[in-house]
Amino acid sequence: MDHLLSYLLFFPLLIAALMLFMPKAKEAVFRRMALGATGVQLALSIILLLQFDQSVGEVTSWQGVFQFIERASWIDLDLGSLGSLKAEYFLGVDGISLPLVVLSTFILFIGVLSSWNIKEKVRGYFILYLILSSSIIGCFIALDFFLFYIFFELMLLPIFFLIGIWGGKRRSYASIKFFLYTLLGSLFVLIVMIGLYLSVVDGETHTFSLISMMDGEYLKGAILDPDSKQVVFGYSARALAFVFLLIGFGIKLPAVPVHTWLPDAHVEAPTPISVVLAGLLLKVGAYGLFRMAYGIFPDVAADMAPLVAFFGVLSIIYGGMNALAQNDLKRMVAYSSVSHMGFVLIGLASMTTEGNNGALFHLVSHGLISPALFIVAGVIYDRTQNKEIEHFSGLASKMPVYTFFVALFFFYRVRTSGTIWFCGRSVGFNRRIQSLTFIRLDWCDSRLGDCDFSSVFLMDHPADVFWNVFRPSESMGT
Amino acid sequence: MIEAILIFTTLLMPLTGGLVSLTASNRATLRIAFVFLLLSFIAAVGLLIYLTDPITYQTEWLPGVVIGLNIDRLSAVLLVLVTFISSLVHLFSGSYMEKDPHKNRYFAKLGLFTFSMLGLLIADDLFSLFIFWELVGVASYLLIGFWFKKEGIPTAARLTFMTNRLADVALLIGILWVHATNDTVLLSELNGKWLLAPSVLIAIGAFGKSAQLPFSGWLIKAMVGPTPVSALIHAATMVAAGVYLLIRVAPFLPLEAEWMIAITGSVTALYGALSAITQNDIKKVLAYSTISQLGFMMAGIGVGAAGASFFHLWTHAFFKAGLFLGAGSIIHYLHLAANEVDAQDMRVMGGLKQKLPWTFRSFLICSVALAGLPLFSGFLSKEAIIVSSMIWADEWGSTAYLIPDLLFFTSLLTAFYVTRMVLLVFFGQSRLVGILDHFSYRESPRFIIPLLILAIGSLWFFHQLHPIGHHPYLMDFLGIKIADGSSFTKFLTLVLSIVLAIGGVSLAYFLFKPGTVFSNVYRHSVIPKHPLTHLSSNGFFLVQAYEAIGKGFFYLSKQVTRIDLLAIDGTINTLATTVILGAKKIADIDLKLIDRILHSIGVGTVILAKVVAILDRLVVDGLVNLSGWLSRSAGTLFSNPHARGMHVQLLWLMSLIILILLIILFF
Repeated sequence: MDHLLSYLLFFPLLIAALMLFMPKAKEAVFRRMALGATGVQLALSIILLLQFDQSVGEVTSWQGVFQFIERASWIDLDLGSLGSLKAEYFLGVDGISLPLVVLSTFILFIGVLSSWNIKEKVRGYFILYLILSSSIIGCFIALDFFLFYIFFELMLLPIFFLIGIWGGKRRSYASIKFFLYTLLGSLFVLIVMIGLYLSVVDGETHTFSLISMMDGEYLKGAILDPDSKQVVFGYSARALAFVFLLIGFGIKLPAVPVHTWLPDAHVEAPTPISVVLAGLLLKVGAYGLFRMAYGIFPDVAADMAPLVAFFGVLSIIYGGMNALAQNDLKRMVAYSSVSHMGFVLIGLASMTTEGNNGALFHLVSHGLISPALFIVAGVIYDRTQNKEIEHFSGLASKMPVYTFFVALFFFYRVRTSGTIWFCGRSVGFNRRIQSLTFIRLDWCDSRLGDCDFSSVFLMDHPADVFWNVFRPSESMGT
Repeated sequence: MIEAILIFTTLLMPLTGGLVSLTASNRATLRIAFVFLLLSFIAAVGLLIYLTDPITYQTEWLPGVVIGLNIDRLSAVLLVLVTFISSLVHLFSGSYMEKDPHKNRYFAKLGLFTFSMLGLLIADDLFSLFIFWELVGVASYLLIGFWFKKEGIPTAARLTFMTNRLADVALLIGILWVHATNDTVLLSELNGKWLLAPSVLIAIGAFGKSAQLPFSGWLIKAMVGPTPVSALIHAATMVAAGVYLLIRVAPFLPLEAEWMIAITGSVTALYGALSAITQNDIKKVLAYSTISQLGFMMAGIGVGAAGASFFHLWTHAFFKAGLFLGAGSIIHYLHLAANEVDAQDMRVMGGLKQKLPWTFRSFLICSVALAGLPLFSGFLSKEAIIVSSMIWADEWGSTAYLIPDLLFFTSLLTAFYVTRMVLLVFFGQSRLVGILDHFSYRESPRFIIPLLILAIGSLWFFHQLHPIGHHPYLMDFLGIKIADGSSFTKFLTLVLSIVLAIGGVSLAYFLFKPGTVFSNVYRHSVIPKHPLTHLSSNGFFLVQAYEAIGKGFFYLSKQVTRIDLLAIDGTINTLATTVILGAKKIADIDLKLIDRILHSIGVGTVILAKVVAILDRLVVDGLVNLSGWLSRSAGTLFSNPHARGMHVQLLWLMSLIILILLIILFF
């Protein structure tokens, strides 16, 4: 199958376009269509996975790393004395993006299933959902920075409406907060993108190609050329660019202290959108760090490793403590996501194979478990319109099967070994121990705490909500 | 091939049994679970017999990380022990849990628990050991919280889990550290001494599972679980895991770590014994005694006598399981006979000798073994540890004698509290006057069989023929020499041990024999009041300390959340509000200034226009009118020549002509 990635990218958009011309009333049809579209996407991504050549040869440049490459000229504007603007339609996957693509299609499929109870404005909902699904996939497979950026921005739009229209009580606050936060992040990315375009060439012409950027084909003396050591406002231009990317993607990740959009967005979003937010949106931020910040600026990244690791540790502990103190189920899971993304930052900061593998593994496992937890929280919320932890007690006697799954997911989350977390964590951890040179011992100590933090807050939950005597609260009428 | 079948049978049968019993009907579930466990036990025995060389299997899990399993005689022996105790516990539970509506769940959890422990025993690398290690923690959480509807039980289960997790973090870091410095975590391939830090971390991990100070509190809290589960936890699984791990890694531990383990172990032994002497709850006495005995094992490892510790682990498994199952039998009986009293409280017992004859016999034997009287198994192993510590102290000199001294003192206390427990429970008159008399009860064979088997296992001949020597079958089988040293030290220790044990028993007997003041005090349910007993009966407030720490941490978290809401979110919101406020201000300026200026300009223009209009009317119109008036006047003037004098008319005419000429000239 040629053009597999394009099919993957555009199929949902096609279905969305089709929906646009259908009568509004047929709600059941929209659901099935969306399910079909994401189902096809899932199937395609599995084909992608099967056809992916896993044998890794000697790699000297990023050129040979990507597979399923599709490349076509797209925008070619002559800007007169300003030069030219040339962006390409350039897709491809490698070992970093492939797992995330497969994860995305899977979570998007699950997301549709959990949207089955959406009753309001069904057509609009699913059209937005499908646009979202295209843009997320687009982010992961775009190899042209410009193309990536477009998908990166496009993602905000459907989420904004999905939270703003189908969300909870404070939905407008949450959606605007989310939108402004991430838009701010995008601006930082945009600045770096422009800088890179001006600095990187493919042969003679300027290019947005991420491959050229990662291979470091810089124009001599350009602003981000590592050899020219350009300085902006007294700071090294490359360092500044790295920090900008760190901020831009750090907001999406999210890392402390730019994380506060996440709890609000999660709490107010309808369950399926929480699922997508936790499962995929955060991964886009991490992917951006992987691909852009660390792929293009490895030299700066090495210098800044302590800084990144510090924010990782801060996120872990700070997020964990916040999660412990929450009363709202969804808020708790959201803060725990912040905590877990800290591990990804640390894994990245190590800049070693194991550390990066661990971070990636952590991303995938987090991408599976967070959605599960949000669905779990959503199940209670849908039935009771209430998600305060202290309003529930002893659900296990009423919902034994449900409790079984909840317990399972929560043990996943506290990374009890034998569960998927364990692997992800220990790989990241291992690296950290070995890279004691730049992650100093005191951080190691503080990390001691984190694992228990996550245990504390998560064990807090099943114990209080599920065990004990069944105490129906006022809201449990139905 | 046979090896593989045996290993898999041993390992997976408990899990399969658990899963099957989950789906089976409530009545059949016991038989199913028990049969599967029996199969596992038989396979384990087969493995032990079949085993000549260690069975190893290795595979690369992640790049650079090799994991594997390794079954040598040590693990095979423990496999047999665990499956054996677990089978008995299953059998016992069949009767104990008979009335419980959730038997399926119970046996499923029990199966998971056994499976985790078995997996831990066959793991060769520390990573998979850690995986099973944590699974043991999970299973214990589930089992302790089995009656989750009762108030306080979920909290207790959580406390257990959390305490374990805390230590597990240390263990994981230790393991990773070992991996980082040695490039392998395969126990069969590691050699040389480890660095101090990872050794200490791993030891802390083991302290967590084996309830050493400061992690001892969870074992007490875990008493809320079903009593057969306590038997399993205390005898062969869970708490044994930490000791097992340290026995495995003992060769790699540096000297300082050994010292630390020895000190922690002996202090914990004392702590457990001191706390046990004032407990009123029979299960708590047993729990504290477990902590104390585990302290003995740890101290043994610390003084380099891992073999003796292993032997103590082995003998302890029998008598402690026997004691807990016996306690289970008592609790079961009291629960049926006198529903309204706390069935675990020794203050309501007394005189149960006649009511529960078989339980009494087995309980007595196991108690004596625990107390460490000669001719019983506990004596052999405990004495081996003390001898080893004495020999070790001989080498190290003065300070090192602290450890055998602590252990000696603990032996005395052990004999004391065990005797007190037996006297209070079985002897004298029942303190539930009139309630138990009319209740007829016969111990179920499912109770008697396990109890008797375990009681026989607590006699000396089951472990070695010689009643006081140091050549148990087990150690010969494993090829380990224990308590190897000067005969004087050995003799001294032997005499002291016997004297102290007998001394402890006699002291307790004189204090608590029926009819004495102390035993009467119990009749009225009064605890002797004294600050020291208060301290002891509360276990030195260890659990309270955990709770305080937990509360403190929770409080801190709440504060952090407030910071999050106030500082970070506050900043963001303030920023947003500021921007909006700024925008409003700008809009205001727009409204007030620019608009006003424009307005003024407009008004000005209008005024100007008005002025212009007035001017227009006054000046232009005036001029026009003036010229009109002038011409009219001139006309009138000239059209009426006769009215005035001619010369005047001419003068006017002249001046008019001059004016016209001037105008013509100048314009």
